[in-house]
Amino acid sequence: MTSPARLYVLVVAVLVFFLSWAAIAANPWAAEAESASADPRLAALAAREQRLQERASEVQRILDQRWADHRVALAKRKREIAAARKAHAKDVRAAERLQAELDAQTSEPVAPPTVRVVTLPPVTQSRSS
Amino acid sequence: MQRHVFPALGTTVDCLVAADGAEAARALLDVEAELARLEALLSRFRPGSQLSELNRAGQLDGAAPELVELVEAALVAREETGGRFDPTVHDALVAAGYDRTFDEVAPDGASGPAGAPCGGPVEVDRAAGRIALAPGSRLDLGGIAKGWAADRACAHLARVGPSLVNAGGDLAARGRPPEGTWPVGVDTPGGELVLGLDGGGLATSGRDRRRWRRDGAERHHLIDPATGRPGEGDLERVTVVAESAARAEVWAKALFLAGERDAAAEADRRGLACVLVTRDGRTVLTGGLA
Repeated sequence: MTSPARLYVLVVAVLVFFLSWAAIAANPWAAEAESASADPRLAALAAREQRLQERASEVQRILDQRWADHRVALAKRKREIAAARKAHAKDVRAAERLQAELDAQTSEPVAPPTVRVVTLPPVTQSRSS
Repeated sequence: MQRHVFPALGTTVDCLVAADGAEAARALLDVEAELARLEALLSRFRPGSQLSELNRAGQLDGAAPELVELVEAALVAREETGGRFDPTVHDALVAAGYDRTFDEVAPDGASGPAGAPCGGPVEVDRAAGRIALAPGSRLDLGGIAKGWAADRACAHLARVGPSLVNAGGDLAARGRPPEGTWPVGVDTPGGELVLGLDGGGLATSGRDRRRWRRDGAERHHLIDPATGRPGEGDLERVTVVAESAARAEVWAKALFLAGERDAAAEADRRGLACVLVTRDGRTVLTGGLA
């Protein structure tokens, strides 16, 4: 083989070597394998995130409903308390009036009660209380 | 004469007023409503009453004026009777078996030992409406509340005419009826004795009613605060006439616990007209009735 021919073969060989190197370094089969193996986990993660978001929305909706119910019940209870206070104040006023009547009567000197044995038919009986 | 009978205060209340017309009828209905209100406030058997609230918590702020007044009256009575009348007998009553309304108390059965300490201090601040009990102490006002309520009801009825209120044996009278006196029957072993009451109060306390059996032994509701157990004196029942039904009730109980000899002496000394019925079947009249 002549020198130019050997040089030509050498250049071609070096060129083939570098092309092969570049092809191997690009590693195209690895990306395929990676994407093929990562898909189920990502999918599961995405599904879980979706479920969590739905659950959070549901909890928020329940919370909002309960808060609304609580506010309604609170308003109702406040009305009941106000009514009870009003009734209590009315009772207190009635009791005070009665007490004033009692005080007016008891402030008069109380004579010791007189009692005697009588022969009248009883209007009522006193039995052990 | 108008009459109105209704259940209240754990007993039957009988009201008479010597007047006709709508005003008297209305006054009788007012009394029924007032006694229902007082029962809701003062009953130890109602969980929602102020008395139950006080007994649960040991103290009560914002107590109703009626509760404050009644507790004060009960404490005065405790002093006056030397402790024979005591509102702190609640736990002793429960220990004896009287732990629910009398209609619901089983007539016979087994129970733990009767007896519980009585006599703890009670603080009352009338202005603040505050009542405080000693730890572990609870009140029963049943012994005085009926008489006190009868006085109150009778005062209300007296606005329309002479009146008589009988709250389960505790009577209050105001004014004289057309017959001149209020004839009241009192049971004695020799038959019914009729006392003419012109005013004030009359009450009977005894072991012949509100009694039951536990572990084969008879128990009743008249607790001796000195022992914390039902009183075991020689009297069956005592009827007392005093200036009010509340005071008559207090002294009927105190004299019952004192026993015949001391009761007769105390009644004479205080000028209280009394009918003492002994357990051996004798009737003793004291304090002006003799």
